[in-house]
Amino acid sequence: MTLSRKAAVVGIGATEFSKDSGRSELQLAAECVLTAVADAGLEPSDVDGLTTFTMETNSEINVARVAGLGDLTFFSKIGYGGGAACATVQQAAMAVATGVADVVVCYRAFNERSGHRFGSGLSRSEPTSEGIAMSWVSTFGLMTPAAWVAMFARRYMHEYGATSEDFGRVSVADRKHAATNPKAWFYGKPITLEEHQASRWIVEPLHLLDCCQETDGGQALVVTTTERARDLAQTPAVIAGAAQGAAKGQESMVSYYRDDIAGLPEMGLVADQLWAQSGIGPEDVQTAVIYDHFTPFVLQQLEEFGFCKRGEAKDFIADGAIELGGRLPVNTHGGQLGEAYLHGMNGIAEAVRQIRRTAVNQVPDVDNVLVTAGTGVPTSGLVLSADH
Amino acid sequence: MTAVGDVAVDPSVDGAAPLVGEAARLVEEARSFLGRTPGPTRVARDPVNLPMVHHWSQALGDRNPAYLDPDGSSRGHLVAPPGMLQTWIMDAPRDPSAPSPSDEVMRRLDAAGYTSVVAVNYEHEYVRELLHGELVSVRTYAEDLSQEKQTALGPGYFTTTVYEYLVGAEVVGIGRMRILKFKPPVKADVGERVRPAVGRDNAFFWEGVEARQLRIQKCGGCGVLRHPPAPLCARCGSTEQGYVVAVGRGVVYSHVTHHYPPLPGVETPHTALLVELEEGVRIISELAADADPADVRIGLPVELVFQKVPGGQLLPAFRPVA
Amino acid sequence: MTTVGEALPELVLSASVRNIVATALASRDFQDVHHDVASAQQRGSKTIFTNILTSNGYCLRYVTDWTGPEAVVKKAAIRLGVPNYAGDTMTMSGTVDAVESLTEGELVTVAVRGRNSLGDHVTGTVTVLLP
Repeated sequence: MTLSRKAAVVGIGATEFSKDSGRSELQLAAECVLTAVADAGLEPSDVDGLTTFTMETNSEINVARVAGLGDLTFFSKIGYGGGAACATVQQAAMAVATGVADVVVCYRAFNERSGHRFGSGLSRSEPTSEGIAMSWVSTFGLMTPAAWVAMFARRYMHEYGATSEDFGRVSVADRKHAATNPKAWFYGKPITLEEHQASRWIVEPLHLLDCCQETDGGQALVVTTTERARDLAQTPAVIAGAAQGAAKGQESMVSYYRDDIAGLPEMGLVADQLWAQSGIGPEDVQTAVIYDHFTPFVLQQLEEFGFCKRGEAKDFIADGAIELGGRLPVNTHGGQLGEAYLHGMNGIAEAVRQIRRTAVNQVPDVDNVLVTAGTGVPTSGLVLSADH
Repeated sequence: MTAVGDVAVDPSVDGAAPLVGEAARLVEEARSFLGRTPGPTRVARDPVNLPMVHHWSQALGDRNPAYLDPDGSSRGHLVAPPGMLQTWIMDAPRDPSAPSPSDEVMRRLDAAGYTSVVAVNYEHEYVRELLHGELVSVRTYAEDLSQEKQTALGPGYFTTTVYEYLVGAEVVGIGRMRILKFKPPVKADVGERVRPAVGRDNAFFWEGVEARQLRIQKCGGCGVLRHPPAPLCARCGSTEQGYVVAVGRGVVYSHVTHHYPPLPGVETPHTALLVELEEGVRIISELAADADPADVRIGLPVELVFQKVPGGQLLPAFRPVA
Repeated sequence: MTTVGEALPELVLSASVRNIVATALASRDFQDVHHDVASAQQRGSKTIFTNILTSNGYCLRYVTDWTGPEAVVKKAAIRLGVPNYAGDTMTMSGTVDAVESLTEGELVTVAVRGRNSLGDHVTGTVTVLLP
C-alpha cells in the first residue's frame, strides 16, 4: 500500500493578512477553516478531522466547537514550528487514505504581529483560547482533574441513582487484580468496599480511593505490519480497530455545556468506530482495559461501549462482573488505581499480554481485548485481537 | 519578646506526639544550654535619670512622689520606678557574636519550626531600689525548657529566661520571663485566587463582573444565547455578538466540594457549582461564602451574588434562594 | 495595720492609642505591634496592644497608688492573658493576699487583676514592704 494518489487538497481558505487583525486567534482559525470548507463546497458538519501544529494555540476542539464542526474522528498536531506545514497535509492524507476520516482540514492561525511576536522573546500577550477555556473553571476554584470529573460524577449519580459504593466497586476490582500482580504498586494490598468508603474526601463525591496513583515510569509499544509480525518473536496482538473521538461540544475535561453530561459521547464515537472497524461487538470481548484515572468514568465507558444500557453500569458491576472470573474482567493488571498511572500506556501492554496469554491474571480463551484512553478529554481506543 | 499573643495559653494540656528527626535533635541541643553560666553582660546606654522617669510617669499616669520629688518620701532622695528595671537595658548594645545561652535556646527552637513567641509570665524580685546616676547592666541565662505542649496557639515549648540586673558587681534585681515558643497555626493565608485569562472573546464577561452584572453572550445573527462565549456562532456562523444581563436566578445542575489538595485562594471545603441559569445556559460558579455546602443539592434554586474571594477579586457566586 | 482580704479601690485605665504608644515608647519598647496598626494586623492581632513592661508597670502603680510613696516594691509576679487592645478599657482590682510582720515593717502581698472586655489581661501578685 502506498499513500501516493490516495488523497487530494480540495479547498483553500484564508483570512486577510494584516499587522493587527483586531480579533482573537481562535476567531482567525475558525474563519479560515470555514472559508476553506465553503471553497470545497462542503458543510462544516462534513469535517471530521483536523490537523495543525503543536505550536498552534487553538486546539482542534476549540476550533471545532466555535466553527460548528461535527464529531471528530481524527486530530493530530505536528511539532517543530514551521517544519510542520506540509506534514499537516501528510497526516490528513494518511487519515483519509486509511478511512479513519473523510474530510480533514489542516489549519494554522495566529496574531504573530499584534500579539506574541516570536522575535520578541517572552512577552505579555493576548491569552490563548486554551487559557480562556480553562479560566471558566479555574477562576471558581475548580482546578484539579478530580474536581472536574467529580462534577460529571455528581450528575451521573443524580440521573441514574449510582452511589459512591458503585464507584468503589471499580476500585475494589482494580486493587484485587493489582494484589496478584507483582509489577503493581499495590501488589499484595487489596482493599474492601468499607475501606473505600472510609477513605477521606478529595473532592466530594470522590474519595481518595476513587483516584488513581501518581507514578514515575515509562511504557513503550512496537507496531509493525501484521505480516511482518508473524515472523517475529512474540505472538502478535493484531490491531483490529483503532479510533479517535472528539464529540460535538467537546472541551478538555470540562464539557459541562452539552445537553447531557451524564455520558461520554466522545467515547461513544470511539466505540462506534471500533466495532465497525473490527467487525466485532461487546459480546466478543473477553476482557477490557478501561481507562480509570477516576472510578466514575469506568461506569460511563461500559455504557458507551454497549456492555450494558445507559445508566445500568451500576447493576452490571454489582455482582463482581468486572473482577477476574466475572463476565467481563476489567483492568486485570490492576489498572491505574492498582498497577500504575502511565497515561493508559501500561493498559495497552496488559491487553497485549492477554492476547499473548501471558498475563499474570490471565483470562481464559482471550481473542479480543478492548482498550480505552483518557476520559473527559478527546480520546481514543483500540481493539486488539489474536491472529486467527 | 514583649509581644502578648492573641489567645490565652493553657500550659496544662500535654500529650503532643514525640518529635522525630531534625526537630528533636535541635530541641535536645537547646536543652544543653540550660543552666549554664550567664551570657555576656550588656550595659545600659544611660544611667538612671530623671528625664526618662518623667516620661514613664507621665505615660503611665504614675504620680508616685518617690519617683519625682526628692522630698516626696521619707527616703530623702529619688528612686527609680521599679517597673522601669528592664527599660534601662532595653536598648543596651548587644554583641551578635557572643550569644547568651538563652539566645542559643531561642535560635534552636526557631530552627525546629517553633518560630512564634508569646510571653506568659513576667516576674521580678526587686532586690533594692535604684538610685539616679546608677548604671544598670544585665546578663541572662536559660533556666528551663518544657516538653512539647499542645496549646491553644499550637504546639510549643515553654522556656524561662532569667535576667540578672547588676549595678557594678551587685545584683539589684532578678527578672524571669517565661515565654511560649510555638508553631504558628497551619491555617495560614491561602494566597490569591487565580485570575481569569481575559482576551477579546471574553472581556465583556469580566467587564460585566466588575459592574456586578452576569453577562451572557447573545449572537448578533441568530440571537442564540451561549456560554462560554465564542468569537463565532456555531449555529449561524455570525461574528457579531452582543450580550444580555442574566436576571441572576437558576438551579444547581451539578456541584462538587473540594477538600484536597490546598489550592491558591481557595478556602476548603470549597463548593463549586454548575448552575443552569433561567436564560437556559449553564455556567460554572461557586457557592456564596455565607451559604452552607450541606444545603446544596441538584435542582436547588439559587440566586446570584457577587463576592470577593481571597486576593480581593470580585466573582459571581450563588446562594440558595431564601 | 493591713488585713488580709482587704480590697483595693478599682482603677480604670484607658487603653487609648495615645496611652499604648506613649507607654511603649516610655519603656523603650519600639516593637511595631505597639504603635503601628497595620503591622499589628499583619501579625494577626486586631490592632496595637499594651506591651508587657507597661502591664507590669500598671500593676505596680495600682498597688503603690494605694500604699503611698513609702512602700518599697519587693516582688511582682504577673501572668499574661488576653491582649489589651487599643480602644479597650482595663479595670484593675486587687485584694490583700498576705501580710507578714518583719522588723523593718509589714510585707504585704496584693493579688491584682487587670480585666478588659476580652477577659483577664493580667493577673498576679505584687509584694511591697510598708515601713
